[in-house]
Amino acid sequence: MNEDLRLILSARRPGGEDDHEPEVAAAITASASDPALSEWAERQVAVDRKIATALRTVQPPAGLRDRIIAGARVSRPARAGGSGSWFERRVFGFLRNSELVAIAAVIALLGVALAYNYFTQTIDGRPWQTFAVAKAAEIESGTVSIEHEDALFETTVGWLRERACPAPEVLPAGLQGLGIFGCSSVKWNGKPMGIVCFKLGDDKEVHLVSIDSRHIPVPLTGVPAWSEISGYTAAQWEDKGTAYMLIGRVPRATLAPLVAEKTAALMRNFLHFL
Amino acid sequence: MNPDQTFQLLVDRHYGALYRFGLSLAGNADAASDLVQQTFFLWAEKGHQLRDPSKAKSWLFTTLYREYLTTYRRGVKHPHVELDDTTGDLPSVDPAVFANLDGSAAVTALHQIDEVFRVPLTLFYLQDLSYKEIAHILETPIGTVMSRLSRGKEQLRALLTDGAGAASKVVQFEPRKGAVS
Repeated sequence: MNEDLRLILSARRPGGEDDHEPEVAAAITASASDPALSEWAERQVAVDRKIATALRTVQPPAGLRDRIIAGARVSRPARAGGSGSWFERRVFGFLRNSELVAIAAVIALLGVALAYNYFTQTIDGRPWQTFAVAKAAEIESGTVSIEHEDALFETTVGWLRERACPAPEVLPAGLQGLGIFGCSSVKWNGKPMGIVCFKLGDDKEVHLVSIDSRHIPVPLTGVPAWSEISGYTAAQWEDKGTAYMLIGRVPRATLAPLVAEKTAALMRNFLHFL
Repeated sequence: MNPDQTFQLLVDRHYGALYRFGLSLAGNADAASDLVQQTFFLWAEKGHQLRDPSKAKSWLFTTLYREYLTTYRRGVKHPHVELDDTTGDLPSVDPAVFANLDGSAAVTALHQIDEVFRVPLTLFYLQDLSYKEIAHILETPIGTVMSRLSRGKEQLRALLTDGAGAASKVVQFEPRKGAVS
């Protein structure tokens, strides 16, 4: 039996998607004159079809799609070129073409921003995750001193809550083994945000950021969503009304065990499905 | 269609197959989910650089595979394969044997075969990619992919039909000296 023909016939998908390829079509034609090869090919396709069908029944865990969408919204860079409805394009296109309106709009926006800043708080245009990573980087580099040095979880959390920063009642199990060396309280668009700093090994740090989940634009789930922000690995999740983000300048494989209990729920769901 | 809608369409079309691919590579649901999330995260960051939209599917599978190699299999991108002399044997398998095969058993069996065969074989059974596209993703000659598909099928069928006894007969490969497993 021709080994080359056998390899080609073995590589064609059982649904017939590749049968139009010249070498596949030629192999099918050639196999017609070889009863043993032809029978073998038919069995091959039948078995392949059953395996492919079985594999297709495996479904992704519930919630994975939503986490993908949410994670991408965090990372997606702003695009040049307009999207939106026809009405939006027409209206904003007209406004863009009017220098007078543009100048007036800039002045008005500056006025509003200054007034808002004066009467309320600083406006930060960055997403909360990017803002938090920047703050953590400042702490790590020593550009900004950590506000409250403390090695005890209870008093660290107490210090944060006195400043209206949300903080976890209990640390994820993976973090409980790490040493705390303090925390800081910052404000993102006027909303209090806590940053608890942990030692990881001799020369690494990880930071647990917390903010009231009502203040973030894209809701999180209870299972960590992973992303990379400015060289930091980040895991984000929500728990009892607080959005958390664990960040560190370490590979995901290093960070993952620290939030393993959060992903365990996902595994349980999958096993239940199976 | 705005970028958000386009992205969601891409997710809806491919995240299931990508998850199954990740599951066969990494062997557990957490790691597979992480791989899929990371793949689409990278797409959201860099996908707009892809000039040919028809290459999106290949890009996603390639990226997931590279993420897997980077995260879980550092140093074993090109494992050395020892082939035995049984290549020419024709398996005579009755398709009825697989009548009750379920997804869990298929994934478990796939995960047991050698990785060098498992990767192209899983992509083959997902049926989203031709053998030429698989060769492109793996940066491997088409003939090599055909050979690995054939040998991988032999291993898989041995596992699925004869169970653990046959599993011991499948061809093993030795990682190249110095490779990190």
